[in-house]
This record gives sequence, C-alpha cells and structure tokens, in this order.
Amino acid sequence: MIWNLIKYSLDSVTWDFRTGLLHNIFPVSELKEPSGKCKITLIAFAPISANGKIRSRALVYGLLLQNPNQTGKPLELMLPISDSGKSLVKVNGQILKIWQKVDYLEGPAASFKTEVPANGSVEIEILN
Amino acid sequence: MMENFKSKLSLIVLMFLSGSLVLKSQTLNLWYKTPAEYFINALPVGNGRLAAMVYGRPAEELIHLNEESLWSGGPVNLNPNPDSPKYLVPLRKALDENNYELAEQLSMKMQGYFTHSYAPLGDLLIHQKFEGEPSNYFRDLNLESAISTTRFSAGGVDYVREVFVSYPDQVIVMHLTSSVKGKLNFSAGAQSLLPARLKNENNEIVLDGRVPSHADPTYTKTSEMPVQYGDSCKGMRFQLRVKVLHNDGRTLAYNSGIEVHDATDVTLVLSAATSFNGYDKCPVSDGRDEKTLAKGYLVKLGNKSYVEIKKDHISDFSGYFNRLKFNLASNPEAEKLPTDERLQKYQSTKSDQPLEVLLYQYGRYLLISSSRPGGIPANLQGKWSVDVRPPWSCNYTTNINVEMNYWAAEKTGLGDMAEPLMQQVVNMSKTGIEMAKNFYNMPGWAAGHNSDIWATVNPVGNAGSPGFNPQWSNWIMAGPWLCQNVWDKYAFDGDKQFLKTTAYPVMKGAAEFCLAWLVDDGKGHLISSPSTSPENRFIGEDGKAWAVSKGATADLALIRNLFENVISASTDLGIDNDFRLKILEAKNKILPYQIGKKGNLQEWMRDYDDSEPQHRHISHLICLHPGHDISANATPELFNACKKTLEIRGDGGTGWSRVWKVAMWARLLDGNHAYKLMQNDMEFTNERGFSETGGTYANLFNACPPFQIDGNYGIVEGISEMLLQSHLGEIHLLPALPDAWQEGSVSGLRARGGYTVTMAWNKGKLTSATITSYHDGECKLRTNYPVKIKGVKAKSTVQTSPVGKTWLYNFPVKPGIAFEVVKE
Repeated sequence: MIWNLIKYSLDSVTWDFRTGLLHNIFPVSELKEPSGKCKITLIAFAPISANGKIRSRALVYGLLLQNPNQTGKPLELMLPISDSGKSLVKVNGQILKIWQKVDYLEGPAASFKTEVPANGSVEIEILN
Repeated sequence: MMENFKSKLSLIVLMFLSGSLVLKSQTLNLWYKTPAEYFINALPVGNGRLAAMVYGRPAEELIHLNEESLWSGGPVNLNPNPDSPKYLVPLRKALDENNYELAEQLSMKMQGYFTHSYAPLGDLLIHQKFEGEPSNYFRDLNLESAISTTRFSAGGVDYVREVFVSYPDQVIVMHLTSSVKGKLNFSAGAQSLLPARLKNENNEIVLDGRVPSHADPTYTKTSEMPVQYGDSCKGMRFQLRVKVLHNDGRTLAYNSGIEVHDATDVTLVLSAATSFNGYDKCPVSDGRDEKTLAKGYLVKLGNKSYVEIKKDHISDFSGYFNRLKFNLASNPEAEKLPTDERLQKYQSTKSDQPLEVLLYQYGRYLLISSSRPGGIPANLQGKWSVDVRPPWSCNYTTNINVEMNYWAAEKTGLGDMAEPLMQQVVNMSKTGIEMAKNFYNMPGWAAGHNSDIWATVNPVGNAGSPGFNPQWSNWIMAGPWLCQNVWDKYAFDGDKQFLKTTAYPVMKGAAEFCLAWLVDDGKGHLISSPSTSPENRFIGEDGKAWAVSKGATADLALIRNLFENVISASTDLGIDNDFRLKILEAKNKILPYQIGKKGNLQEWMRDYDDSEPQHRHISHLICLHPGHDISANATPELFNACKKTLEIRGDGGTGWSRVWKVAMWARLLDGNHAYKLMQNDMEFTNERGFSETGGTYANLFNACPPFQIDGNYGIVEGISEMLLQSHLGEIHLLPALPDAWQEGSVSGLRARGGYTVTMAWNKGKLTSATITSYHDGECKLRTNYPVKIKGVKAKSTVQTSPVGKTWLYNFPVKPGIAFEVVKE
C-alpha cells in the first residue's frame, strides 16, 4: 500500500492491531498506523455454503481504510491477486476493475489508485 | 549412578522374594504404526522450558513448539476495581437474609480482569523428499530416554528421525539419518500463528515475533476483537532459531528456510527465548534480550557432537525418571500392539496391567518434561499448547487443577520439579497482598481461582461490569489450597531452611487473611462469608440454583488444614507463639464437618440439595484428599459420609475429576473402587471439543475434554495413594491394593517424614518391604496384615475400623538405615 506517498507492506508492519471474528464468523483485523494517520480494517474469508458442502474456489477480501486527516490523501493498493481465474475489485460499491488471469511472477502486481477524502473512508472489496 | 544401582538391585531382590516370575521389567514406550493426524495423536517431548509435539509424518513432518514463558499480556493491574471493598458488608448482609440473588449481583461487583493466555511459539516444518511411498512405518516415545523416534523406508532406503529436548544444552534436537549414503534431502522451515518475521541469519532460520497484549479466554469475549496487539507495556517478544549443526551433505539457506541435499546424517537444533523478565517487569521496555538469549544457547552448544548431546540428555532425564520403578503382571501379547490399538482393546478386556504402569510412568515423564527448577510451573496443558486462545487460556486453575499437577511430585521422587510452583506461590503471595487489601480491605494475601505467569490473583471478570458468574469467579481460597502443596514439600523432605524462608512466610500470610475473613455464624462457630464451593451450585430456599452462600465445607476444610499446618510449622521453627495460639483458638472454633440427610458429607453449611448431584468437583472432600482430617480409624462416621458422597457423585466426570476420585477411593481404603475409577479414566476418546465425559487420548494425554494435563499428573497421585499413604503421620503400605493387582513391586516411593519405600507383593499381600529413613525418630507403620520388622523391637497394636483390621507398628529409625519388613 502506498498511503500519502509512503509505502507499507500490510503483512509485515509492526503497528498495533486487534483481531477477532466479526459476527463470530469472519476473521477481522484492525490496524492502526502509530501516529494515527490511518486506520485499516481487513476481512478475509473463503466462502462456504451453509451446509458446508459447497466450497467455492474463491477468496474474498474486504478492506476499509479510514482517513482521519483534514485533507484528502492519495492511496495506491497493490492487491493480492490469484494466479488463476478472474479477480473483481469493487471500490465503494462500484466495480472498478476485472482482471483476467494475472501472472504475478512475471508482471507487476495488480494495483489501482484512488483518493480518500478528508475524514472519509474507502471500502474495497476484492473477489479472487 | 550408585543410587540407580541400589534401586535396581533392591527391586531385583524384592522380585525374587515375591516369588513372581512374571514381573519382568516392562517396556516404557508409546508406539504407533501411523503418523499423527491431530495434536492428540502426536508425541510430547520437553525440558521444562521448551516443549515440542512430534507428529512423525514422513514427507511433511510437523512439530509444534512452545517456550514456557511465552504468555500474552504484562504485569497485572493490582487495583482494577477500587470500589470492590464497599460491597463486602452488604454482600454479607444479603447472605444473612438468604437473599442469594442480591449476593450474586454484589459478588459480580467484586471482580477484576481475566488472566492472560499461554501462547504457542510456532511450528517446525520438514519437507522430506524420497522415492516412492513410505513403508515399514514406526514411531515411538521412549519414557526412559525421553526421545521420540520416527522410522520408515522408501525407495530402498531406511530413514530415521530422533527428536528430544535437551535440558543440559537447552535446545530442541532433531537428528535425521538415511541408511544409504547421500539419500537425505529435505527443507526445514518455521511458522507461527503470532505476528512474526522469518529471515536467514548466518545460515540459521530466525523467526522474530511478538505475542498479543491481550487474548480473551475462549469462554468469554470482552470485546468484538478478543486478540489485541499493542499497548504500552504488554506483548513480549520472542525469537526462534533453527540451525543445521552437522550435515555431511550440502546446506543451502534462504530467508524462507534451509535446504539439505545429498546428506546421510544431519543434526538440526532449535533454540528459543522470550523477553519475559519476571512477573512484575514489563516484557517490552524492561524485558530480557531474547535475541541474545536464543543465539547464546546455540553459541554455547558450539560444535558438540550429536552423540554427546544425546548422551548428556539421557543422563539428565533418566537420572530423574529412574528414581521410581513400578511393575505389575506382564502381558506380552498386549505389548505387541501399538499404543492406540492397545488402549482401544483395553476398553473391552480391562486387562493390561503394563498399560496401567505405562500411564503412571507417563505422568512422571510429563512432569519431568514440563517443570524444572528455576522455571515456570506446568500449566493446564503442561507446556504443550497450539492455540492463540487456548482452552481456559491454558492458565493456572487454582481450584483443583494446578494443585493436582504437583500432588505426586514429592512421593514419586520428583520433588525438584515442584520448585516452579513454590516460586509461583511466592509471587502470588505478593500480588495477593494487594488483592486482599484492594478487594477486601484485609491483611495477609488471597488468591482467586485463576492465575498466570503475571501472578494474577483477583476474582476474574470484567472489573465488575458486566460481571462474570461467581460460580467460577469469586472463590478466593487458592492461598490455603496452594499452601497445602507448599507444606507437603516440607512434610516429605523436612528441609527447615525451605520452611523458614519460603513455606512459613507464605503460609502465615494466607492464614492472616483467613483469620480476618472468618466471621461468627451467630452460634459461636467461625465460617467464611461469602463462600462458594468451586463451580458448583445448591438449590436455595427459593427453589433456584445459586452459587454464593456462607460456610461452604471446602473453604472451612482448606482453612482448617492451613491453620493446622501453620501450627506445626511455627512449632517446628520455634517461632510466633502468640500467632500460633491465635490460630489454634480460631481453628477450634471453625464450624465442624456435618453429615447431611442422605448420609453424605454436607457440601454447604445448610443441608441444601445439589443442583448437579454428579458435579465434577468434589471440593468438600478436600478434607479426605488431599487433606488429612478424615480417616477410617479416627473419624469413622465422617469416613462413611465421604463414601456416601462419592457414591452419590458417581464414577464419571471429566478426566481430572475421575483421577481425583481414584485418590479419594484410595483414601477410603477401597482399592477396587479406586481401580474402577482408574479404568474409567482410561476410557478411550477422540473428543477434542468440550464435554463432561473424560478419558484418555491415543497419545495417552488426558481428556477433560479437551486435553488437560492435570489428569495425567493426577493419575500418578491416585495410583501412588493405592500403593502407599503417609498423610496421617504413619506409613500405610498397600492401603488400597485392588484385587486385580495380585502381584507387583515398586521402588523409590517416598513417604512424609523423610522415608523411601521399596516393596513387593504377591497374591494381593505384602511379601516384603524396605523402609529407609533420612532422620532420627520413630516410624509408625500400618499394614493390612501382620508383619515383622527385622532387627528392631516394634510395638504393635491391632485396630479395627469400618473397613476391617489393620496392624500398627512403632519402631525407632536412624538416618540412612534401611529396615526390612517381611510378612509374619
């Protein structure tokens, strides 16, 4: 993630964070940037039918980035894209992109840019 | 070395004297024909500080890793609920008015926070390459060498892996070999459920991570986000290092792991350390340097050969393990079966005495592997845990479980292993002073039903809002109960320095709190108020189930026992006359034990009905076991009432409940019933979830369920009590021998007063015994049949109790002199 021109790897930042199960089902993590310049909530799960018999070959990520600053900030996200099949990205409920098969070993990771408004947030949903 | 030799020699002599040819030494190993699928099939190894669970998978080996000081959180808030003391008077008033609802509401306002959780370190992963499918598979755990071995063949090559945890070298060791040169090819990696980063440092895999600052217990959620990382002073650091110590092939190291190619003989060593620096120090700002520590163990190891590391490990471990030998009738056919099949067969045959011996010795094995002097006490899962939020936080449950962990330590020659508990009690006595003052405005120290590495002692909950059910939370008699373990150490070894500097100060502090806590019942008796009987409830006058009342028998038994031990301790030390008189006066006023309408020992002050007549806890019988107030000869009516209570409670329950009942039936001198409970505890189970039906897993871990180690340690106590009892100031040989154990022998059992006992029996009767004293004095010996003590003139009397006749002998003893006892 590049937030306000600074690059962060969310899988290895040492920010304070909390984890739990949303509605006792969905693994959820909340990360707080130490100086309070952004807060990120991440949900990741593999869909499964209620009776457990259908297990989709899919992974869903939900990311909520809150910007507590008084000004809008640029955001660039490098996304975890699967190495086969389609990936669909929605930003604030609108389909932003559909990637066809991405070979992440050869090409750059799929990414997109947006602007997060002052005291606002951006919701990103990714279906792999 | 000489002690081992003497021990073996005396056992051989006794076996000869017993006339038995079937008591050949039994193989003490757990073995299997298949790799472990789950944790409850894997095999535990440990050195007290480090622990590992070995799955024994040929291609994808998995080894769970633990380090004993890795816990969430940091030093405890000693005054989390400053309003607490103001509720005590209205709470006592509510109880005087039988207003149990109000009493429970007020109790919930007198709680602090939940304890922290024991955390998993990570996993070692070995991906081994070989040709074809593995065959000739075998894995085992040898209890005498404390080594887990995995063997298999593939592509015409025999592969062997040995895993152990060395105490002398403080590392986990894995040795891999192939029978054909250059056929060993594998990669080794590490992972953790905790936030951690893997890197390569000078060809060593290094995993640096941190634990949560907070992890809610699994049974409650204080917020939507029960696992939290951060906060100023909480969340210790850890480091795990994996190194190829020797390799006759090629080693390639990457950030993600190590690869070994074309080798024949490889030794991997793992070291780990945390920044924990004591229960009262911040593990972040004031923590130890875990990196230097973890690296230091490997530096110290240098280039030591595998043979030397293994030799030192076996010498260390067997030095403790071989202090006690136990044999029953052999069963060669059963011993041909793998342990899981053998345990399943036992369900129908109930006939495999070497398996019973194996379970007994496994408990001793686990204690040596999970608790070493200078370390941290064995927790609810010993030291083997894989979850970030483990069952019951994998903490110290003080209303039975942690005490049970150490009951058998002294009597089975493992007194050294109880040292960590002694230190934990000292720590808790310090935080407990603050708890007594801040929660109750009282002197001395007190502790509730849960503790952790931070010596948490407060009644657990959410600091009063919203409250947690007092059925679990508001019991605060951990001080007196833990002091039983502390006193027992002195009772066995007579170490006056320990009594003076460690035991007596904590016992006195606990007694000071109890003196202040007791109130007059209006009829001249002293009782506790408020009071709960651990985790149980009664049916009140309003027909509803309640937990909080006055004068629960368990409280009074524990306080009475503590007072008795304080009186003995201060007498032995020749100090504190005035305090002793005060304690004696209070002890004599404590409400006596009462027999209820069903002929049972009453659990509560009033003869209430139980809300759960077969409840797993039997805390009012603390006076029978581990206490010493009830006996067949001195209190026959109460003895029968205890028996009635156990009959009502039934023969089921969780694992630890069953093994406690083994010990209780042994104290009731009913060996057959104790044996029945032992067999019930050996009920095979695969249940990994929560249930009230206990048993034993395929790896012989005890099932609460889920896995709790107290039952493994507790069965050692139960069986030991069947063989020898010494809680009444006398040595009772074979007090509760079951009919099934017609012949057997044991060496190295210890008795209170400073004795070691070796004995053998045949046709259900003692044939010979050797009693060695470590002091001058008089020995009181009780037997179920008349005996002769060679070389001394013993005074003998015959006594008749509800269970029949016994013979009591008094004779003088001298230190180091062994007395031989033979049947008359």
